[in-house]
Amino acid sequence: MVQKRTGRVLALALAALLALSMFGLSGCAADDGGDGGEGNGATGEVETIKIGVQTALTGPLPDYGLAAKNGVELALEDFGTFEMNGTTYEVELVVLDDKAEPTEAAVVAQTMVDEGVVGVIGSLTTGATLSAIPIYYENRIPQISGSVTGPKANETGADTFFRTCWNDAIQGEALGVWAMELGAKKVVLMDDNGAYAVGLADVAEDTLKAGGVETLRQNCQSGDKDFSAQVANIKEFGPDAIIFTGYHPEAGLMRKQMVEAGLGDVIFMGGDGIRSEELVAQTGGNANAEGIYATFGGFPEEQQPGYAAFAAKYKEKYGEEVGPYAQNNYDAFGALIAAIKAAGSTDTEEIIAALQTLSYEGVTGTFGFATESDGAVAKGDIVVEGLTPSNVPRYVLKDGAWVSAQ
Amino acid sequence: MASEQQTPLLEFRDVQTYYGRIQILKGVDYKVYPGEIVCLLGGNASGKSTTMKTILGIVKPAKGEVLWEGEVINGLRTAERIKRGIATVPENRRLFPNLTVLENLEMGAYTRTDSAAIAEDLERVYEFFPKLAERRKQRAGTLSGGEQQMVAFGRALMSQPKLICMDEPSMGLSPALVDQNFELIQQVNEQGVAVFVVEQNANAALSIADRGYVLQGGRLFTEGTAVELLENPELKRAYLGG
Amino acid sequence: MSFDHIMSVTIGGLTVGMIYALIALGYTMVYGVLKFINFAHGEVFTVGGYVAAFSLLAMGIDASTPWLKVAGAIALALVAAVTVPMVLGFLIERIAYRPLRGRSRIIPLLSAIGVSIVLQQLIIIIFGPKPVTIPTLALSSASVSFLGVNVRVLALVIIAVSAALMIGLTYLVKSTRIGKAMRATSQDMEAAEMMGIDTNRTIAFTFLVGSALAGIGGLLVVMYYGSLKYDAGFLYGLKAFTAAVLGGIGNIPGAVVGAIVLGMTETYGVSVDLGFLAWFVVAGLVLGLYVQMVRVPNRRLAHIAADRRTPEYERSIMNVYRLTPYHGIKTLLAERTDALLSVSAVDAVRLMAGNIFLAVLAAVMFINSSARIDTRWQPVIAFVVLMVILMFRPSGILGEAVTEKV
Repeated sequence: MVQKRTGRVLALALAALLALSMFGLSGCAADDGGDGGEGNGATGEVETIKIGVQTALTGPLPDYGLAAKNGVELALEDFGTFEMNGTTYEVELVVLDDKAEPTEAAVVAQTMVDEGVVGVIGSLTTGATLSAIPIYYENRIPQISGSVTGPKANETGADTFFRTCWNDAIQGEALGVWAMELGAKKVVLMDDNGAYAVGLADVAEDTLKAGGVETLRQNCQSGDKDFSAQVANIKEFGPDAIIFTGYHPEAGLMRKQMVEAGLGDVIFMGGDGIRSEELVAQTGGNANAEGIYATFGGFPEEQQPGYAAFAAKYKEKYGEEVGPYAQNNYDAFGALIAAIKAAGSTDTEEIIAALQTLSYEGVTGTFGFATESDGAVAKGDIVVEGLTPSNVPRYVLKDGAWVSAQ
Repeated sequence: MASEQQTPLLEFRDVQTYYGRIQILKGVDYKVYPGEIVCLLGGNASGKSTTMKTILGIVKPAKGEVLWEGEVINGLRTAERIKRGIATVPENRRLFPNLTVLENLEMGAYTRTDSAAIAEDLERVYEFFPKLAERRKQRAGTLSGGEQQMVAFGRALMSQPKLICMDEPSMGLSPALVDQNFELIQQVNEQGVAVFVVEQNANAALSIADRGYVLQGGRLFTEGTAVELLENPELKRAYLGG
Repeated sequence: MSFDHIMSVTIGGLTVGMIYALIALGYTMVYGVLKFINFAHGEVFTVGGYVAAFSLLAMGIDASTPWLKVAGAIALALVAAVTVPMVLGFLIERIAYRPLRGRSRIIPLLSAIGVSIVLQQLIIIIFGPKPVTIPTLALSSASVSFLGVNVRVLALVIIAVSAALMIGLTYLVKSTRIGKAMRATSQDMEAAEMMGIDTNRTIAFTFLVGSALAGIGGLLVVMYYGSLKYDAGFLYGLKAFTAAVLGGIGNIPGAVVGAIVLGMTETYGVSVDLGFLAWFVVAGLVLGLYVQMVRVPNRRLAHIAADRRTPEYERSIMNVYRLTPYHGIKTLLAERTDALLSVSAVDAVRLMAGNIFLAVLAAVMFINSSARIDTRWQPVIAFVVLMVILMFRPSGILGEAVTEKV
């Protein structure tokens, strides 16, 4: 009897612990999106227009989501009130959280449409964007993402979709070109079966094949630890280089296991998914990590003309360093306002047309948007002045740190 | 054969037990003296199995006392009771089907640590049941019904018991096996081991028992010597099919 | 395909399989005794790995540490990686499972899933979400020449240590007092109690042993791969559980066999030529033909009543199973009213269909003998093999919890 009672008490204690931990978690997930639209005193000279911010403040990437929202809010301060045809327009943000989930994203997109927004900044991730695009396309609402880099984000070629960050495919092409510049004749391409990595590897493989390089494609699953099958296959193929397009945890293990199998001389390169200094430890230390190459999907900060000023403003307002893709989201909002002004109208069809011909001087550089898909470039992609596959940023690991290899 | 002056081996004093909120035993008194065969008769749901579990300490009495050689053992763990000399042949034998005959017998001596004496007892069991010696490496589940019954007995004997509790030894067995079983009970008893038999088959049980108790709805209905019970007219009607 | 290639793939597959086996044993032992799946076991493994990694890091081990100190550090890490999971496993059983014992089986299962979530979250809270990495030790990168092929010493160590542990476990379960109590408890808990076996203690002991093995698995994984992530237990747990089912849940040698089959399939499937893999299919075909022509008909014959058992009748049964073009079909047509014969005929056709499938598969593989399955199929192949095996042997390769096996 006594024994049974202690068991029950312990079980209760466990339940309480569980409840507490859940409380703690939901506390973190609190969301302060969706400001109320106060002071809508339309006098005939001041008009309020709504712009949606579809981001993911909860879900797997809350830090990215918050940075995107911060970037847009900063832009709202700078461009949120403007005059056009004698009327003062005030922008009201509609911030909605799609949790980076495709199903949720469709609901959010529909809500945006019902809210009557003239344009949307977002979404944060490729999967969510893929399911939002058709809804915005049907309702003719322009959508600019500042963080979706997946090559397949605009697979359908919707003319309502634009982005102010680089398409990963640029890195795929750049990796292929770089490998050939390094003199590789046989190259292994390895992805982690994720959309990002597969897209990158596909483009790199096409680039290499077009250059007459022999390739071997391998894959793993995100979370895999053992690559003995792949390493054995690669050993047999005898490549000069391997392009690993996944993320650093698997890349590190792959590099480690390749070195251990005597493939340390094979050039190891990857996209921005491996450009993390944690890679060094994951390969087993400097000896294994030294000389790994990586590209990056955007110009380094010092090459972004407006970055220094932006970073200062960001730090002043939020008290922290610039979060990922914040400046791209800032530019997305800026470009949308510029398009509205260029169109001279808040009619969404005219804004879409204006975006297609826009040339905008933003924080990250001077850019426009591609009107047609062509090779690695998709419709609506950012077209940065002066960017070629060979001047995509290149980095190399030296003494445990990434340094420029341009 | 049992004298009232002797300390009973096992004694129940007004034992009451519950299963959840349902009262099963509503105050029963039993006594088993050394060397006796005592049977407990009763129909379904009369509390026979609960009596067995209470003796073994798997069910603890809510009220009343269970005494072993004059000492209250209400709170004693099963293992401790086995060490003191209570063994069981459960209903349907409950052998470990995937353990060998030898391992099943070893399980009977689980609470003992005197390996030399265990080996001796093992030899004694094999002498008693020569068939088991032949089959010692065979899985118990592959034996015939009669052989399994021997293993169950042998397993009970392995703990050097003073009392063997038998739950429904005739349940689900062919008449020939029932006879064999009751013969075994007598043989074991002849070694000086007291036997407490819980049985529905009153005729068979009373034919070998010294005394008996009759349980009905959790209470003792009647008790007496085997002869008395066999001649009890009420009992005859209810249990003895006469 | 070289010998070198086959050897390295074999060693790789065996290493992975042995690690799965160490974890699978915990699943299978607990299932054997309690008939429920301890889903928190994967996390116990992760905790073992983390504790091992942090012990090694705390002792400041790196590539330059003298080997004697490294050996001492590993010994200490081993102690930690065994003790902490053991305590954890004990507490899990005591707090989350024992109070629920005797309830409907779904309830402890839910509790197990809950514990798994709680543990994973606790790992994040205590150790942080970043993967833990240890520096490369001379031991973990050392290799020896084995049959003319370079093999990592650590791979051989893992195989040897796991094999030794499994032999030890077999001895424990077969020949010791507590081991016999475990088997008795798993077969009939109430009868075991009647024998004076303390089943609570026996169950607690089962958890201790299973957790210790998982902890050793964690240490070996950290040493071999150099890093571990907080959610590693999920994938490893899933695979180990699969291995346990594949070998026959509740069956100790079965868990080892299942784990090796799974590990080998994962690596072999995508890194050896189809022509080589085809020989495994041929072996399966030989086994299938043996089952169809000899084993099943003989079993059927054993069940014929003595008075019907004429040589002609026996021959017609055999003919049905051999489906000899003339006799088999004739018997089928002529004696369709005979119940045993018609059941046998259906059975025979089913078995034959399976064998024809295997024969065709082998032929196709031989024709494309130099082709290799794309690595993208890696998880699929393992799953298909699992399904095929379970389709023909629903209780797993060695059967569920039978003879001499807990």
